Amino acid sequence: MHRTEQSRAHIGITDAEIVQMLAAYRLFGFWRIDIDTGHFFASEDVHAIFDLPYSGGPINLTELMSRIHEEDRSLIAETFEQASLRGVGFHFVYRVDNRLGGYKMVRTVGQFRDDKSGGGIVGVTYEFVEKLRVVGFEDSTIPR
Amino acid sequence: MSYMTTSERQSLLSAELASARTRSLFAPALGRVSAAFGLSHVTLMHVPSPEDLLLKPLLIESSLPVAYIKEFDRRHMMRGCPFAARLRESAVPQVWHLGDPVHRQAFPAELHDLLLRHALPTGIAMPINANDGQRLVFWFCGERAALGQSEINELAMLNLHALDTYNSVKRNEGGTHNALSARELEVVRWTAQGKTSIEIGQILTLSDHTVNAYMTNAIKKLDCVNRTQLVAKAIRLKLIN
Repeated sequence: MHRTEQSRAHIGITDAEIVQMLAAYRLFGFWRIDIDTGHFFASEDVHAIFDLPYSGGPINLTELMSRIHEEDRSLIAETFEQASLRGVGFHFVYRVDNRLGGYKMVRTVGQFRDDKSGGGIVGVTYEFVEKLRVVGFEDSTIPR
Repeated sequence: MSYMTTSERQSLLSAELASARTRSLFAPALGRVSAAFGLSHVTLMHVPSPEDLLLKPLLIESSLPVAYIKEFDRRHMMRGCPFAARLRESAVPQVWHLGDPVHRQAFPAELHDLLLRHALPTGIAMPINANDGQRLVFWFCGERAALGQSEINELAMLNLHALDTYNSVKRNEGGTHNALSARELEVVRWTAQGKTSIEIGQILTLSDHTVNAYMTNAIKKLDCVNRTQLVAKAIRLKLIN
C-alpha cells in the first residue's frame, strides 16, 4: 500500500493540483467509515457512482451494496471486515450497476487511519473510464 | 525423526488457509496450495460411495474444467475410478502419475485419455474426515512430474489446515444466521442504513442505551470487534439486505 513518496519539490506541483487532476473528467469520490459507529460518509461523486441521492449524512450501506454485482459483494464486505479488524489498507476493482442494464468497473482504495482526526477507514472510489486516445479540455479554457 | 517437512512455503500456505474465513476466500487459498506444487486444479469433494455414479453432485469446491466433469459423468467413469474404494477404506493418500506404467494400468483407457486431454496426468487424492463425520477428499491434479515423498508429506500437513478452515467456514455459514435475535437484526439493519443509536431508538421506541446493548450483543454473537465489522459481516452473510 505505502509507496515511497515521490519527490516533487523540484517539479513545483502541489498536492492540491494532483488531487484535482486525479479527480478531473470522471466521477472520483472520497469517503470515510467511522469504525465506532459503522457509518459511511461520502462525497457527491460516490453517491453518483452508486446512483444514490446525495446527503451529507451517513450513506445507506445496504442500498449501496445492492448496486454492486452479486459475485463481487461478498468479497468487498469481507475486505471491509478485515480492514476494520486488522487496520490494513486495501484496494479492489469491482462491478457496479450502471442503471442501463449492465455494469461499469469501479475501483476503491482504502486505508486505515487512527490519529487525532479520528479512527476509521478513509478512501477514494472512482469509475474506470479510461480509453485509449481520448482528449478532453476544460470548458472554461481561456485563449492565450 | 521428523514426520512433517517444514518449510517457508508450508508456513505461508498454512497461514493463508487459516485466514481464509469464508467460502469465497477458501477456494482461492486452496488454489494457491495447488499452484505452489505445480498442479493446476484442486477439488474438495465427498468420497464416492459404491452407489455414486456421478462426480458433479459430490463436489464441494472444484477448479476442474467443466468439460472434464461433464464428460466424466456422461460416460459414467466413476465406475472405473481406481481410487474410489481405497479412499473409503484407507486414510493413506493415493498418488498417481500416468507416465508410470504401473499407475497407467490402473486406469481404464477412456479415463486415461480424458486425464491426458485435460493435461491432468499427475494427481494426489487425500481422504480425510470432517467434523460432522463426513468423509471428504482433497484432490490435487495437473501436469508435472510425479510428486516426491516430502511434497506428499507437506501436502498432508496443509490438508489438515485446509480441513480446519473448511470446518470453520461451515460452522460460520450454518451457525450465525440464527444467532441474532429479531431485535438485534433490526438494530444492525438500521445501523447499516446510516441511522445513529438515538435515531434507531426513536424508530423502534427504545432508549439509545437499549439500542447500544442490542448492538453490543450482536457484535459478540457474530464474533466482531466493532460496528463496522459487524455491518460488513451482516451484509456478507446476507443477514440484512
